[in-house]
Amino acid sequence: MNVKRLLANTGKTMIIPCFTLSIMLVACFAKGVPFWAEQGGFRAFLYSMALTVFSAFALGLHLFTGRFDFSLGSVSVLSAVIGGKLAIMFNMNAFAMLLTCLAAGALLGAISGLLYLLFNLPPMITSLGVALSYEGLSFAFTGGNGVQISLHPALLSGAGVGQMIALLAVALVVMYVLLNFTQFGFNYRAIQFGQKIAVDTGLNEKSNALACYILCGALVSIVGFLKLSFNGSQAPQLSLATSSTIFGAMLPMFIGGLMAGFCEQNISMVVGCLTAAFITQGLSAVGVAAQSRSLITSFLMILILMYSTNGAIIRSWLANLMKRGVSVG
Amino acid sequence: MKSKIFEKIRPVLSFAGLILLIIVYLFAVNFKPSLFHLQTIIDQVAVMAVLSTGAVFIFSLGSFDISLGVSAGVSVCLGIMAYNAGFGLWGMFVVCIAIGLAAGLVNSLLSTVFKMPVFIMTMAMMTVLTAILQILLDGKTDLKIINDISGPARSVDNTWIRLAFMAVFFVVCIVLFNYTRIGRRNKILGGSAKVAAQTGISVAKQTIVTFLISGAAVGISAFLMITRSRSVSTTTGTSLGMDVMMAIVFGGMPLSGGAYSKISSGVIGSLSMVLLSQILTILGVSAGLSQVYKSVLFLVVVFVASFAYREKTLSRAEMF
Repeated sequence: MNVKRLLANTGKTMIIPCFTLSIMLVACFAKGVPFWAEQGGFRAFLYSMALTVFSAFALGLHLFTGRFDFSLGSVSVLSAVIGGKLAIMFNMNAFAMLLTCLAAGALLGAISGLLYLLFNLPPMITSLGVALSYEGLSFAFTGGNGVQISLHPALLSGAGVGQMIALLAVALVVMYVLLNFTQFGFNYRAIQFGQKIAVDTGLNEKSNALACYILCGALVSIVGFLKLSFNGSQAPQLSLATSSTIFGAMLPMFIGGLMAGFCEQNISMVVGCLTAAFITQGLSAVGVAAQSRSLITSFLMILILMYSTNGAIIRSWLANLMKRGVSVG
Repeated sequence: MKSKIFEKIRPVLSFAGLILLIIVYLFAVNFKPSLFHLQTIIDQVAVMAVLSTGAVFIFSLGSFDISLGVSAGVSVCLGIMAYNAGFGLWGMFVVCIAIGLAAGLVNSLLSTVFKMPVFIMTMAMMTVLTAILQILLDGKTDLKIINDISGPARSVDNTWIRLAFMAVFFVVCIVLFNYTRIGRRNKILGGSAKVAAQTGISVAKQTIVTFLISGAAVGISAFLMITRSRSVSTTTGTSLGMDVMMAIVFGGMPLSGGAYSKISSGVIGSLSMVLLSQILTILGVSAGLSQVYKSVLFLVVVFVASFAYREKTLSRAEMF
């Protein structure tokens, strides 16, 4: 790739997070408060960012091919419950618990995917049933008490700063390679941009969709693993309360969407998550209450969505405005 | 062939399922349902049935508004605030309806003026409304109606009033959906936007009308929620949006909307879901397993429904 173009695209990709961080730092400076307000603030920041990165990877993988999966949150909880219980039972260490969670997540994702293939109905509908089943199972499996690992120090080390950075780096590399250098990735993109043509020319859409479900299951199982390691416990949730995991990843995903033209899809997601984390951290540092933070980020999401769907009109309107300004000048 | 047979029996499947559930329920109560049993069922059905019936209008367009439940939550909160501020029962009712309509109007304008995809947009609206509800409650876990024991709000805590509201709203919706241009246009638009445009239907106007009807349903269901619980919390209505989606599917609504949309699916689905919950409760099934059984039945219903929609390519929707 042309080095000049690479630098230009990198610059464009980093504009939004740098601009956001600058605003937040200025706000903190004006208020006389530090950006990292408390001890362990960076770890908490990294933790919340890691949760959104893995959730956004999974959500995006489905959403960009027209699927909406309500079951992602429930897969995360159930895989953490299974992983945690087995880890305690077999006296595992944190890494083994991670692998167990990953295997459970992949299996649960596969079941979800197989049901989607079997029914061939809007995934939104199928995943509603799957999410309810998984939620109910995690509740029934633990008698409503969830899983507690706080008395097992060996299992709590999974959410350290180093471990989270390593997990993020590995996940980014794996996703980058999978989507850009493998047959799975080529097929995924073909289906994303021309489902019917891709299928008519012999592409096996079903195996690609199933692989997506398995991958998404594994990705959200890391969310479950991190929550379990960070908090020391994972409580079961009912009545589709687990879907909040998905909603939390929406803003970062939309912010990432703004940069999608300048960088690769997964990188844009990570940058989107970083930007969203800067916003949340900054607002929290200057003392904005949790509910007001939530309102601000929700409005921001609507604005970005508005821009995403009307970007061409807005850009042409701005270009006309500038042209008129130049001619008047 | 299988699909053709299914097409013939599909209109009665959801109704047959409801009859089956009623029979199982009667078995569960040893064929001696008390007035209390009946009132419990009506109380639970009324809110969901009103909201689901309103949602059928949006579903018939081939879209879904996932923010309906939280809209009802905000509506409940502001209704209680109006009542506590001295606006009385009617003031509370008017506020509930106004908030429901306002939420519907905002959603419809975002969808028509800004061309935002309905499902994703309503999902974003759901987070906005959840935050608004939390701000309205100002850090408290709940808000109750004042003077609860002897006030007028207590006087409308009556099962038969809720049943009357549900029945009147249902009849109005039957007329609107089956005997006016609103329903006909929705079915055409849900079937094909191109055909709708060729027949001179204004997509924007129809979308606004549809969201306003569902907004009215939000307002009425919010009022019914207040009459029953006379309080609101940060979680009021959060799962209602998903319950409505499930109820409509249970009730036999075609998943893609269009010509075969049925206004009765809201009521049939809500009644089926409530009966199922009641049966599981009577049988002493735990909360977790109860949800597993309900979801398995939901998946079975969806699986049966899927016979009519099999296509060569996998089902998906344009999200952006």
